[in-house]
Parts: sequence; C-alpha cells; structure tokens
Amino acid sequence: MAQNADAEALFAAHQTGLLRYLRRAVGHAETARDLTQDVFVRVARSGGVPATDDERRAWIFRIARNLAIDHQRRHEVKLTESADARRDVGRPAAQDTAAAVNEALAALDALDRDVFLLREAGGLSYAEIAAACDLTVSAVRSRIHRARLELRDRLRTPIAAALQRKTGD
Amino acid sequence: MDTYDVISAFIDDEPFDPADLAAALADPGGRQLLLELVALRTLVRDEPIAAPLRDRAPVSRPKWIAIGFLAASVLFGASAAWLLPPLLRQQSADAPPKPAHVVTFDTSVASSDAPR
Repeated sequence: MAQNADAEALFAAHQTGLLRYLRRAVGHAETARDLTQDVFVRVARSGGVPATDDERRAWIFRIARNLAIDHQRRHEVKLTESADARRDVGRPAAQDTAAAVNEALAALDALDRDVFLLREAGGLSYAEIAAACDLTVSAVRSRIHRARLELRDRLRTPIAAALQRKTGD
Repeated sequence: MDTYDVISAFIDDEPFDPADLAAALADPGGRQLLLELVALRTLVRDEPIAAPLRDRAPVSRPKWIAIGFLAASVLFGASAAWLLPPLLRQQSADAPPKPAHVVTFDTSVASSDAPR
C-alpha cells in the first residue's frame, strides 16, 4: 500500500517533466503518454525506490530513457515527419516550428540529444543527468554545450521568431 | 569560466561565479547568447498547439455523420422556435373575432300576424 502511495506521489511530481521529455525523445505525443504510463507501471512494480529526491528523479528518467530507446529500436521511429508532410499547404506556423525542432533534435548525436532533453525538457540537474546516463558531470556539461550550439545554428529562424514574439508581448 | 559556460550554468541553475556572469552579460554577444538559449528552451518545452498530422487519430465517417445530424437537429429546433410563434400569431390575426352578442332570428312567425 505504501509502495502504491509512493508511486502515486512520484507520478504526481514527475509526470509533466517525463511527458515533455518523452514527447521530444520519441517525437510522438500518444506514444509519449503510453511510455509515461509504462514508467510508472515499472516504478510501482519495482522492489524499492531510491531514498533521496535527486536519486529518484535520476532513476525515473533513466527508466524513461531506456523505454524510449527500446521503443525506437522496436519501431524504428523517426523523430521527424516526412518531407511531404512538412510541405503541406496551409499548415499552421506552430506545427512548422514543432517539426523544425523535432528535425533539429533528430540530427543530433543520440546521446547528446538525450542529455540535452533530460536538461531542457525533463528539467534534471547535471548531476541527475550524469546518474541517469552513466556519465560524468563534466561530460554532461560538454554534451549539453555541443547540443545547444548545434541547435542554435539549425534553429536560427524559429529562435529569432520566438524572441520577436517575446519582445512583442 | 568562459561566456558560454557561465551563461549555461546560470540558466541551468548550476553553480557559477557572479563576477563571471557580470562580465559575460556586459558583452552584447553574451546578452544575445542568453536570449537565444532561453528562446531555444522555450521552443523545446513548448508543446505544439495542434498535434502533428501523423499524431491525429483517423476520423471515422459515421462519427461525422452523427455530428452533422446532431447539428442539423439543433439548427432545426432553433429555427422552429424562432419562426413558429410569429406564424402562429399571424394565423390567429386572420381568424374572425369571437362575437360579443349573438342575435337569433325567430322565423316561426304566424302568417296571420303579417301586415296586409
């Protein structure tokens, strides 16, 4: 019973970050929702939960990352939509931006992408990411650095548009 | 720490030297980098307003037919509610008024009573 209560508390605390991370990691909203549920099924079935908050977050996101990797291996999911879909006439700008972000993420090295998404979408600290991915903090820092520079380069137009929107608010 | 490292540490809530951050933000390039990294975060965290095309569930035709039928029913009901009362009032205006007095003629008068 206490274990179920733990799992529910963890679900409430982390579902938003997990969903956001998985949404970008697998590039598909419905799959991300399913995988988020799978994470918590595994948490509920697990024998024990790590003691500290930091360890718990790293542990949960490690499960999520493994599920995302398994899913991609099984289904050979591409993160980007097809070029034909991207050329759809009358497609809203928000979808173009989302597709551009997914495409830029897909072009990153897989581990760089995971590390970057765990930070930006999942909200993990460098130490938590290091624990989730079996890396050193220094390696996490340098991978995030590399990913950001590459994404900044690939997403110049959406970034400029986002800045314009923010300054126009 | 160089400009990138200190700005990254700042936005990632990691430890940094405030003097390094002040120096980085004194440079226009540093300020621009900060803005761009924050905008990049916004883009990555933003959920698309509408799901990508391939995310959408296939729409079944019977569902649309049912929705169309429902919409037509609602429209018909609303139209009827709006149009019928004036029509009914019109009909009642065309009908003759109810009589205030009723006059009856007695046709059974005896012929001997008639004037000669």
